[in-house]
Amino acid sequence: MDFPILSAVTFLPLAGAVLILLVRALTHSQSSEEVEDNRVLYAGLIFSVATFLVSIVMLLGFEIGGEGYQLVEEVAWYGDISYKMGVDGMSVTLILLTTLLTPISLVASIGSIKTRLTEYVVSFLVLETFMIGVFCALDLVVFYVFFEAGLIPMFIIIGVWGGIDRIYASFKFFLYTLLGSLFMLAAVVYMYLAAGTSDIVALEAYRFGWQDGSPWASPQTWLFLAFFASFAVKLPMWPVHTWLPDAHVQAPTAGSVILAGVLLKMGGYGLLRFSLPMFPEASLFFQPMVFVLSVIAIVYASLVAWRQTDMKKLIAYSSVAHMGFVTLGIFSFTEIGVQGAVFQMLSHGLISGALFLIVGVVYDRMHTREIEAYGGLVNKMPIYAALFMLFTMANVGLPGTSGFVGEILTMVGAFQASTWAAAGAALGVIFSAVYMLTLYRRTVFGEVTNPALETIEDTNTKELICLVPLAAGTLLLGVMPNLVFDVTRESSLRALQMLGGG
Amino acid sequence: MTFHGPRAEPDPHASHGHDDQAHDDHGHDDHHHGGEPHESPIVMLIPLFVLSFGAIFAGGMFYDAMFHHGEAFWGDAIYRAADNHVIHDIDKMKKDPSYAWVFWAPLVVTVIGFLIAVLTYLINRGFGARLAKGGGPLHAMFENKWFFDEIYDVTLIKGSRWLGDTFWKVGDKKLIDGFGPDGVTAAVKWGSRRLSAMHTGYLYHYAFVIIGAALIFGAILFWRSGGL
Repeated sequence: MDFPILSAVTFLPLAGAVLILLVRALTHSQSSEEVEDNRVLYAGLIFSVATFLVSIVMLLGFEIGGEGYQLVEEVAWYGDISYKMGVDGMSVTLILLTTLLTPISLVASIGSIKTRLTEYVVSFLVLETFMIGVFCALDLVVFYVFFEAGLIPMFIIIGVWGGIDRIYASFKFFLYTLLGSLFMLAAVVYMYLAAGTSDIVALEAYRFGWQDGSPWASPQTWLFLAFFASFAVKLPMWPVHTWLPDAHVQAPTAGSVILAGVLLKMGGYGLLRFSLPMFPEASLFFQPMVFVLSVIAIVYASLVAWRQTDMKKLIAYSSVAHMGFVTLGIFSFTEIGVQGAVFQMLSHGLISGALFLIVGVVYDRMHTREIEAYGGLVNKMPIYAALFMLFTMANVGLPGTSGFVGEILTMVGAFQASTWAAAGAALGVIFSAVYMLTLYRRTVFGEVTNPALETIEDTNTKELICLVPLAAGTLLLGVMPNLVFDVTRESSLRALQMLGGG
Repeated sequence: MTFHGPRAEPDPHASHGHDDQAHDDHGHDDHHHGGEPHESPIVMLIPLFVLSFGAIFAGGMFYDAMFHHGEAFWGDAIYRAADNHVIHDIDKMKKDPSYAWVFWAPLVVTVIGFLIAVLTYLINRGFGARLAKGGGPLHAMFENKWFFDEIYDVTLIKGSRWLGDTFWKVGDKKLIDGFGPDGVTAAVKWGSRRLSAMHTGYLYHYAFVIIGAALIFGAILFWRSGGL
């Protein structure tokens, strides 16, 4: 048997978490309330960097353009359910995003998080295992376990290290996502009983009942809606998005980076992995509904983003709008649209993660996220201003940045399916320029009016270590998008073939 | 108009607002305080000459290539549908005297504009200021750029702001959260409080509920077994 590289990349962070807990149990008897030094953060960082390196090895073992799932591992677990892991192009890119953003998040936490450091690091490492597991799982039950389990560490991260209203935000996040997932659980049980297997490859080949004349009497319709309830909350789509701004505002910077960078992508990934291949007729049937919800999300969230006074909330609403492009691309059922959607997920992971870090930089110094408290930062923080401008432009979708590629492709895909949907999405592009440029102008340009800003310092080495790789990735993918497309093409086409074959 | 030259340091004592003549002559995008307008230096004039040469003669030079040998000139640079004969039609229109005004109008307007500029800026300096002082609706319209900014502000900007606020404060807060998570939480809280209020701790309250439930349950069983 080959080396189980996927299990290694999945469980290495968990092993690190266990080791850290063991070491602490053996060496410390202090109360967790006490302030700990940063050594535990460095230990967590070592494990997350090691995970990143293992994921690079995984990428090297992945055959680009190869058919179906690769690096498959399978161990019988219980009955017909087995622990089965495997990846295709789409999951490989999202795993790399996860393993890149986790160490960056931990670096960003150095000096920012001062209490319960062990628990903090353990939460992040456990979360990383669950996130990677979601993208590797080739068994429906295993997927569900990872998908749901990821809620717990994020619930803890927001609830323990969050802002003043962290309890409200963490419960809202937990209940929203759990409610959506319960529908999915019911569907998982039905699918297992109907198909007699929870193997994702087998389920892709299985045809769940569909009657052309009466969709509402077809099992596929209800299965689609049950999965959609879960993924729509996760993305999030309008109108089940209100947990996201609260969660982001209250979460610590690193929590926001992971939340926006990876957790939201699970929704889009789920739609591509399950909804399109397993419920093809229902996907086609619900295309107009998804288009309407996506366009509303884009326009609505963009307008609300514009009116925010809190920087994090503004970027959170911007995420809702950008995820609208993802659903639009996926449900365009065109190669260009689906490829654009996968690219947009990846690109948004880099850009939104970076923007939350950007907010974190000034928050650490000023302890406020209110836009009004800033202004004229370019005079005091020129490097910060330059990086902020790059990510602002990328979020707007400026050519040369990855944001442009994702948006233009999803819109071209949507245009082929519905001119109106594409027109609505184009409005969102204009609005994104309005709210992002307004944010940039009000915080960075102009004179320094707040006396507290007189002594503010520019980005330090730690912050540059976090931001520069994301800036490089944003530019690299903007100029050479084929780096991603070559990897994801086969999986995107396969999802569409299954849709057509249904 | 842009005048290239050494940048004058702003004079804090200059009364910009009262220097009507200079203000009018300079236009709004020039911030020299006082001083006569002067010719651009050679470094600006050379590119301007090149550009003006192109502006005057480019049409004449490329007309034949673009219109009479259009397909060879444009190649595949501009897509034209098979049934699109617009360039050919333009050529036909040119020969039709009833369309002559279309071809002459740009030249006439340009010459009129040129003459007005000469009158205002060279011959009769101050004409613009006098016109502005005279006011009137036409002046107001031009002064305010056809009121486009104001129209955009009232419709698009204020409208979008209102929409954004409404979506946020009414849509998200009152409707989605109000009927969604906050509403459900409030309903559960209210229900729990009512239920807990029933737990009085008095034995006779519990006995009353038990006996009442037994009676109802017994009645149902009796009814289902065919009694009555």
